[in-house]
Amino acid sequence: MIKNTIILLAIIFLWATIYPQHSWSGLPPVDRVKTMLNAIITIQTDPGLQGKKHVAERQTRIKEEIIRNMDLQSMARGSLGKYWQEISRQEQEEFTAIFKELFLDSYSRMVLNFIKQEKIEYGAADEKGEEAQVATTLIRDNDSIDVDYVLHRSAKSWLVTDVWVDGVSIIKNYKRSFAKIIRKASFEILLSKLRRQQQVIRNHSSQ
Amino acid sequence: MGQSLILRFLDRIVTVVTWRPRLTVLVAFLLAAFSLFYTATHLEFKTEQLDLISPENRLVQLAGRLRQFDKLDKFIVAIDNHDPQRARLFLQHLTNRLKADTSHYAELFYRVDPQGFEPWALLYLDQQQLEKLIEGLTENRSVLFRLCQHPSLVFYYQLLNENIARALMDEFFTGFLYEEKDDDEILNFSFLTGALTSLNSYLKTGRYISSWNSFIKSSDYAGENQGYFTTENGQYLLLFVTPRAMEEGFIGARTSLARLRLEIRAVQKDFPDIEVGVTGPEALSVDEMNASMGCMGLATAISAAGLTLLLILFWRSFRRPLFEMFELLVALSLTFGLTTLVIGHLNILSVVFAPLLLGLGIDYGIHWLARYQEFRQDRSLSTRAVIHKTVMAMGPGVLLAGTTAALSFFPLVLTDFQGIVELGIICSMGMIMTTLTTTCLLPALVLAFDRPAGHRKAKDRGRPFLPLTSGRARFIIAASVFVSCISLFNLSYVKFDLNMLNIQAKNAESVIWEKRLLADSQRSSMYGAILVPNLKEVRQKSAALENINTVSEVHSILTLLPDNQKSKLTILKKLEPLLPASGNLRGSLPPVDLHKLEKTLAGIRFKFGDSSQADGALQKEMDRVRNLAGDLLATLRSNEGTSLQSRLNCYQEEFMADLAGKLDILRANSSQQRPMTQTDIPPSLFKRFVSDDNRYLIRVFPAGNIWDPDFLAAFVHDLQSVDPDAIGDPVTLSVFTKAFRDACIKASGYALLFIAGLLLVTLRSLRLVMLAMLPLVAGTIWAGGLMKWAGISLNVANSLFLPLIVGAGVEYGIIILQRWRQLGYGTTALPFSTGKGIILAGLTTVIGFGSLVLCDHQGTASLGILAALGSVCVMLAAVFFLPSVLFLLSGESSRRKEQ
Repeated sequence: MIKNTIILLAIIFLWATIYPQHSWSGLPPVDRVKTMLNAIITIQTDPGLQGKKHVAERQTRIKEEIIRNMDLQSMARGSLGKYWQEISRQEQEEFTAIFKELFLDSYSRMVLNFIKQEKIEYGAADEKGEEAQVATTLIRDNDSIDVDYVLHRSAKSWLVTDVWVDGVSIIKNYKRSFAKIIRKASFEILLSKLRRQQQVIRNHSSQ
Repeated sequence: MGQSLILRFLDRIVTVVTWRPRLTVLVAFLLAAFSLFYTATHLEFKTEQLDLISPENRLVQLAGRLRQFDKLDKFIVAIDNHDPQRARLFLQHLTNRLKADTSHYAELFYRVDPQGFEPWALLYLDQQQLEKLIEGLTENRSVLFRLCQHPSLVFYYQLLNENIARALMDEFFTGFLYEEKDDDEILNFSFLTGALTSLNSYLKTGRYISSWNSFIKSSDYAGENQGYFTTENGQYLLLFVTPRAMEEGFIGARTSLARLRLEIRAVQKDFPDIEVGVTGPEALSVDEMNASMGCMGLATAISAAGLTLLLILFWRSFRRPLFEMFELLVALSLTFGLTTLVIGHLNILSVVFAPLLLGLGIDYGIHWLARYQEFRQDRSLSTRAVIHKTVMAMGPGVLLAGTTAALSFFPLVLTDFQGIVELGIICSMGMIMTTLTTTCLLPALVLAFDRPAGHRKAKDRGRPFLPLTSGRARFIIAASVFVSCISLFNLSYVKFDLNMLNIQAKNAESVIWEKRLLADSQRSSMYGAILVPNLKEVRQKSAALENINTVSEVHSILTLLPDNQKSKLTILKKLEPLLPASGNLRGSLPPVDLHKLEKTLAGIRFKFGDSSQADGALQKEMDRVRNLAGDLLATLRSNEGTSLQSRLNCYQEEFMADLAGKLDILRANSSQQRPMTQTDIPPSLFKRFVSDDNRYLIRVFPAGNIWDPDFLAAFVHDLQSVDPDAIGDPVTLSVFTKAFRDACIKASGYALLFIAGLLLVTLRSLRLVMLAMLPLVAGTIWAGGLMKWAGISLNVANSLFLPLIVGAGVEYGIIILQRWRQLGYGTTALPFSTGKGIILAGLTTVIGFGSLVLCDHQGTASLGILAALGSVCVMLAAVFFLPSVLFLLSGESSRRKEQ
């Protein structure tokens, strides 16, 4: 009996090791997106968090959801494209730290603006190896926009690595803008602009 | 000796005209009828300001050089442009009708074909705009190339939607990186609103509006106006009409204008919502002349009716007033005939002579009939004998007063102002004619048709007009002197208003529309003109003029050519790689996918759904996009089926062809090898700046209010400092107003001197001359004083009043002195008949001038007011002031005789 129990646990352990996405700690791509969006809508529609005075609190909680569901490290790397390899480790670390802060602020602001009580339709996940794409449609009255989520399977779970709004990728947009500055000026200049914006955000938050 | 000669002459005259009185009347009537016929068939009208200035004047001669340019664009048709498509449709209908009428319209100028400018259209942008254009094309390069590869309306909107999404990303995620860009650049949705408006308009009205013009919108000729002319803010679409009948003078221009207005009204029946009006230099002149002629007709009729009524009231008889009016109308008809014969035309000043003449010329008949009535009381005398006695008694006075009045107008001839010269000649002839008819026709009329006045006793026989005592006379003199002093003081405050706008007819269509166009435009429609023989001088003088403060814009053939062409051509080379091939755009296109279009538009509207976070202009722009997209979605969801599908397909075709056309223009500009030269300018524009003999016109626009005399003087001075031969409307206006004012002052001075000289010769006594002129001098001073209280300024029209009333003013003095002399210079007060005659004569003059108050033309009306006021004052001075002075002087001489 004890032996059988040990064998069963071993099988479960092995199964969990081989298929982590199906484990208790990882949701499938559609569920991951759904969980994130439901949480955001819950925050946005929480009667206790309505009004301007609760904007900051809602933003903080939205940021927590973003951190929980998005792979910000990978997004920072992706936004620099080929330039990631050209900068030092120290610069990479600093860039990533600032990027995370800026992205959290920008994305949470966008969410605060666009996602309120919209109806969301989910399409099936398009999984290709370690990548998956979940198509959603945000519907408000008779109008709608397509928002597609790109997810990457990490060690523990599926995490969002990019968002496409009506065919335009956030990360590609970053990449285009960052590349333009690096091409025209340098990475240092880009970093200085990011630092400045980081300061602006911090100042704004502390007010 | 002289007196007896005149009496012998008068005796002969009265014998001849009363020999067969009815025959005399018939001859007069026939002569008057012939004069009117001759006038109707031969009299012309001159309407321009320059017609009023002497042909010898240098300005008039210089203006002749502008004739080729001046005869163009005489009428301007302004069409309400609130709906540009509809306004252009109206224009098309109107021009079609006008083009068919070649006998009245020589040229219609309403559009410069943009195709002529297209290969150089972009050179009209400044370098900054060119850089911006290139930047815009660079930013939209991907959209343009992708669209040209896969031309489809849906794809275009998908691309736009994608761009909006990208802009949204920029706004939230990377906007801070572009801090050096201004907000407008980041948030400019004009391209999107242009596209939505264009599609909306097409689906609703079937009219295609290009949304691609933003590429080359800064070029006037190839831009949104597509070569049509509009006022500065686009409120009115303009059509310039050159009438063919200009050579035939005023009548031809009036006919052309009337026909033009008829054609406009005819087209307006199909466009009741579009307001249209005609203005322009010739329309203003014709309307002004029409107003003056209308005024002349009305004022003459009212004046004649008023005079008749006044005479009936004064004489309590119908018969004699009719004699008087008949005699006067014969004189007027003869004056018209003589005017036609001697001058051949009327101008804007002389056209009002008829009512003036009625008021002035009637006086002699009144004095004559007043004396006739007085002598008629003597029942022992036959009518013929009474008439003879009247002629002998009144004749010398009438002849002297008439000749004096005629000569008082003669000095006007000595001015070098053609308008006043002609008015002087006409009025002189008029006074001679009225003197003649009073002397020759009135006795015959009275003899032929008068009947005894019944048994009414003359209450006033021997009664003085104003019973005077020494004290009363002294009081009147003191009061008169006091009023004169006050008036002289007030006179110093009366201003001379040179602003010609203040004297124009208020209600004339051309004036109303001219003011509308002026209000709609930042600069005046009047410009100074300089003619130079070569382009080098055009450059030099234009540069000098552009540095002058009173000048706002300088237009010449060079301003039609783009500047800095060489460097711009270099910049334009950068366009080439940004322009996709347009071949696919003209091929067959896939039908518009309604579902996809709807989905894309819904996506666009979604993004503009909440504008509450945006501020000011951005919020407005977002709302506009949302509404336009909403309108389109409503149309697409209206289930119109095949009709909607086919309209969308048609729109798609026009849209792609339009883009192809714009890309071709851009490509033609980018591959342009040579700069634009004056030979590339379309002929219709070229001839407005270069004369047939290759002289170049520089149009200089003022930077201030041209109607402000001080600014006008400064502008003209500046203009002439660059070129002493500068001409054009401001110069004409300036020279005209000053010349007119000076001519009036000069004419008044001449008239006074002339009359004084004439009286000195006739009366042979300086004292009598001064006495004769006393009512005129005192009355004029009083009238001047009253002007300040009445708030009347002297202006270019009413300053004529002084030379006009000089004759009448002296006449009263002469009549009174004549009577005083006949009474033996005694202390007898002014007889009632003489006083009554003068008051009646004064009132008739007031009616004659006063009738002009009814004129629409404000200048003529103000002349009427002032001349009437002057006449009343002169009359009051004649019946109160002069008799009092004579009374005291008679007393003095009696006392001296007694001593």
